[in-house]
Amino acid sequence: MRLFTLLGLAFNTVFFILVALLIFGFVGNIITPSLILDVLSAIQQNPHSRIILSLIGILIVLISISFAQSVLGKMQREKNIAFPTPTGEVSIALSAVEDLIKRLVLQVPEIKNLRPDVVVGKKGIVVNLRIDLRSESNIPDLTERLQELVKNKIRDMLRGIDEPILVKIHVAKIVLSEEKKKGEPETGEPNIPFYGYRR
Amino acid sequence: MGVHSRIDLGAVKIHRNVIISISSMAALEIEGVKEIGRNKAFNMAEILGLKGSTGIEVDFGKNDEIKMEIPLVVKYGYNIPEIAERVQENVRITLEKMIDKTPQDININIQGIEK
Repeated sequence: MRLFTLLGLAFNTVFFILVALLIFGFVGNIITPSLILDVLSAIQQNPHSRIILSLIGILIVLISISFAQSVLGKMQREKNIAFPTPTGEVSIALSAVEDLIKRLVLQVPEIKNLRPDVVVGKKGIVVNLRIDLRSESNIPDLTERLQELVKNKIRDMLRGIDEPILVKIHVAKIVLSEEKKKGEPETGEPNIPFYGYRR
Repeated sequence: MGVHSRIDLGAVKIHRNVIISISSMAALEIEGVKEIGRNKAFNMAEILGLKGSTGIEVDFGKNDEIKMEIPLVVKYGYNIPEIAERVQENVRITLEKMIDKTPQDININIQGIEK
């Protein structure tokens, strides 16, 4: 993996330096449009050079993908909660904590939907919850209950991690329940137009 | 590519994949471990079928010391640090028993929680 990263880094550096040199050459009139055209037509006419060029293209794609992969891997590694143990290190991906919160909170019947976002900073573990509520729920009561629930569950599952946990709740939407949407329940008698109008 | 050890009759080489397999089995023995995670990053080698689908990474130091990273998906409802420590311990003991080597670092990366 490290070799690929180094290769990718070296390749990117060389590639961009070459591009910069080509630009300087073009600006400084050392490389003329006709020269570029000559080189390109020479490559196109020779089947061997076309094969070589296509191989170079494939190589560029592979190196770029590997480089992107290692950078993405690093980015992913940064987004976690880590703590040392005698045998090594344990890191918990924040997406796993978000998953846990989602599973937990969706068990509460008053909650229709939620989008958790967990951030680890100087303040500790900050959980931002964007929730969609059902209309009949008491918001202050529910949010307080939810904060306690999330805090306790995280503390329970990450026992041994002493970081403070802050739960922020943002009620994004209040959804009407299905029954209320349909209106009053039907009485059973059909609604006949102009029924009751008699002479 | 692996652990080397010399005995009187010749050299014994243990391939990296063997260490990965042992660690994977040892990790899955622990209650609360759902599965071994994968490298979430786009992995070209995996797509081309050059590498096993397991996400366990093993690195060897200059003196053949083993450093490994085990991505895990754990079951919902279990204490994560406890599971992680038990996995580390079981992997260490199993590797010591089977290849006679003590890993220097066993890093656990919890990637997800499933029921």
